[in-house]
Amino acid sequence: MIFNLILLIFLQPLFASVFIFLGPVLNYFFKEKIKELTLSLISLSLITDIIFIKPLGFFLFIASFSIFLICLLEKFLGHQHFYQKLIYLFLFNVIYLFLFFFLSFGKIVSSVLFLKFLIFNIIFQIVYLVIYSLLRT
Amino acid sequence: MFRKKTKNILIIFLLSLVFYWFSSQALAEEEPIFNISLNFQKLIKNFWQKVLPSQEEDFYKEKYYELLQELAKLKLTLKQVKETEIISQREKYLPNLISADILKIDSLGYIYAENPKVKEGTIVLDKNWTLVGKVSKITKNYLIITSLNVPGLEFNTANIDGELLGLGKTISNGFLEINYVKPETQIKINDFVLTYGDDNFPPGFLVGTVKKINKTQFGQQIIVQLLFELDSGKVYLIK
Repeated sequence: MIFNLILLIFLQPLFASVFIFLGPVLNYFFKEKIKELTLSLISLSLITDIIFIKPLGFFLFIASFSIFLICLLEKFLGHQHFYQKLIYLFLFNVIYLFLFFFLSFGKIVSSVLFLKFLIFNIIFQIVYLVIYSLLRT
Repeated sequence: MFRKKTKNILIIFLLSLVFYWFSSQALAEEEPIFNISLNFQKLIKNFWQKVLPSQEEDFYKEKYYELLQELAKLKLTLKQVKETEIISQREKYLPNLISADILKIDSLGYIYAENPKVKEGTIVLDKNWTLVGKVSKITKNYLIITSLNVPGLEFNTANIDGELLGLGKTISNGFLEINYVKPETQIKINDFVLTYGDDNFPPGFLVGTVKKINKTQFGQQIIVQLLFELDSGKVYLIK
């Protein structure tokens, strides 16, 4: 948690297209660590609000809604395998970024920008999940 | 486990909905926190720049010298168009120019800068007198500039002779597209594009250069590369 906090505070200002707090949040989601998921979702998203100069609760709102939607998917599809995780990551990011752009501009104004955010975030989340699981083993 | 997780997330979502609603209603209350955050982020950026000087520096040095040569050529071109509006803008607006330090540039193209006491709608330029954007929001300690990198901004554009090209629309990542340009309009790659009329921006400000011209059945589509640069960490506002 402290590591994630430091990562967020010292690296987020440098990477404006990647949402660092989603890395640990999705990691806890896949690991079924509910307490950690709740705690990191609330604390890290509020710090992200302050870094991105958004009304407090903005990122908590869009992240929790997106996670809630992919939670519903768990009834039909597990996430033991890597390819299943990829499906979850893709769906999560599409929903999350759609909400992010919609609340920022009122519509998806640029598909190029949307795609850029989507690719950067999915790559970051895959790297985070892989490094985390390598460090744990 | 599935039920517990879903239930927890649903509760957080509902609480965040209420919290976000209240928070967006009282944004002014959060300004001191945001101001601290902006200054802190500026410190962090400066810190990383000192700790990790860019490894690509040498590569870019070469590029920089090439660009300097190109710039010299451009300056020559600019001299040739001395009588056009770009130059006359300087004389008109120079006494009202005021600088502001950039605090943060976000991923959507919004620039946060120190507030040198200007009004909303103030025109923002870079050190080369190229159009950066417009002040869209003022707070006590900082201001928010909507730069031309923000997608979806629309304004009329002209060529170097001051002739209307058409309505330009920003498409993010440093580009602007102008659709439905008359087929008979003579335009070449690297031609300058300026603002036109007085709709969103005053006329005659340099916006960028023509990067690509596509012929369509409705005329021409022009892709313009924006020229403003913010490396100096400063923007200039017309008070």
